[in-house]
Amino acid sequence: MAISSSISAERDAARAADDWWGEVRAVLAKDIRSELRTKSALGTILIFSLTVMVLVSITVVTTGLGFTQGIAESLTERERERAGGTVLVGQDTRARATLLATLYWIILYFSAMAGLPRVFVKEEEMRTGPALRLAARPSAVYTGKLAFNLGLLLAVSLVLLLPFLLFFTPHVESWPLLLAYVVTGSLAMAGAATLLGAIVARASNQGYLMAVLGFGPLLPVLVFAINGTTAALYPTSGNYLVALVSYLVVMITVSGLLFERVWSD
Amino acid sequence: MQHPAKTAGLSAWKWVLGPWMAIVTGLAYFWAQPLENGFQEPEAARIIFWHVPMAMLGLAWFWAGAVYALKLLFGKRRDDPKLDAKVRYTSEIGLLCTILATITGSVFARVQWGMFWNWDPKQVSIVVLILVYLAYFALRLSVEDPQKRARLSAVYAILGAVATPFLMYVIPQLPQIKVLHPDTVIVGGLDAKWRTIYWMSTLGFVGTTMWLFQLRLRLQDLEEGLESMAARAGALAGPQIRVEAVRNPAREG
Repeated sequence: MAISSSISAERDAARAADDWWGEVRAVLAKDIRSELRTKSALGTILIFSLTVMVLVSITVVTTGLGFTQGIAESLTERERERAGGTVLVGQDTRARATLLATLYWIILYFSAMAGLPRVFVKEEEMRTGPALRLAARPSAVYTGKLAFNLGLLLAVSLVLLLPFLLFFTPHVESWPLLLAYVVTGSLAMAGAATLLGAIVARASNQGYLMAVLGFGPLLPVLVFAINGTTAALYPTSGNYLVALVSYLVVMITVSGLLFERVWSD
Repeated sequence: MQHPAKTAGLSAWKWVLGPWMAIVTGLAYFWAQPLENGFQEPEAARIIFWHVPMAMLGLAWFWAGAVYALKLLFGKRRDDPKLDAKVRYTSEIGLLCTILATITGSVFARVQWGMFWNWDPKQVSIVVLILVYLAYFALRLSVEDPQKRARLSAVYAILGAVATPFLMYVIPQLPQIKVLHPDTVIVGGLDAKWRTIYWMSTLGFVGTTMWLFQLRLRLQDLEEGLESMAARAGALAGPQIRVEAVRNPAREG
């Protein structure tokens, strides 16, 4: 009797541990599937970020930092005359690199604030929250939704990089470094914003609340990512990757520990 | 309901703190000699006695709130509304300290560097701390249910506390970021007189803020006592008469 009950207890424990990954996969798959169907989060983030990127590109040109030296030099005499002798020329200066890096990350930040909470807010809106609470463990729900948000923001940040490079043609000093900062920065941002999204989903007045709550915890990401991207565009010293990664690890761990208290009733 | 011993205990604070802070103020302005080194206006260096302790306390009370928040979420007295009140009061006091630190710092910045505000990293940190505090209160206002409010705001307090090392220490230390603020080790470089007054001032402000905290807790106790008294009176008076304690609606949340 004792032997068989301990064996079945072991089997139950093994099944439970095995189920955790299954639960995570199930939550992630469900979110991906529903996202592909409605495109609510992806649509929000992409449309917002692309619109603002275009808007910003139009206005930045007027500051003279839109064009680069190379473009101005390649204008023919006739084009120069037509421009009336004055052509707005921007040097590939540190100022330009800083400006462009800042714009990229601020656009991504506000897009993230608009779109990342969707993964939790839609559970409350569609009233599927209680069912999910019954179906999966809080840690599995957190991990699944975290994976979804990480993937989402990573994809958006890479997609946003294309119009960024297209509209501004920045001088990129180091492509690997640029990609490294874009990837780690977006992962860090999504990692910290997931728990914040869960908090906001359980409150009312969610529209402005996410940006308000997000500012404090996410400012380090912005500072590190902006400075790092500047260093990738224009050669400056300063390695922020370590800071970003340590921030990412700390935030995800702490969020994981706190999530259950936000999620459970 | 009103414990005589508690009342006596609380008023004892003011007899200690009042004279203490008066002594500190006197010493700060009459005993300490103005610092010539590195200060535009040597007299203005006295700001060290007020501004620095306030800034430290603004951060310290935030962490104290995070400790109470941890107790509320994971401790033995889970979801105890008294703990929620404690988290809220520590945040109120911390916000007050941080605002005072910002104002005193801004005045000093005008004297020392000619501008009220430069967005120097330490200034950035202090403003961000204020915004995190305000975000905490914004979150509290957005949740109706008291237990949910307690939990969600406690989680946010902890998240904010985890972010503070990055905000307060890592960002200002980054070599690429221009630093106007005097190096923090300046306190170690001060002469004995200044150091004494500085530590006396810090002690005084710690005491004052702790006293504020106790007073606030006592006020909450009294209000709850009033409500329960009203409830009992209502029960005695019978169903025809309605008795209620009039709570200050501004105090809720």
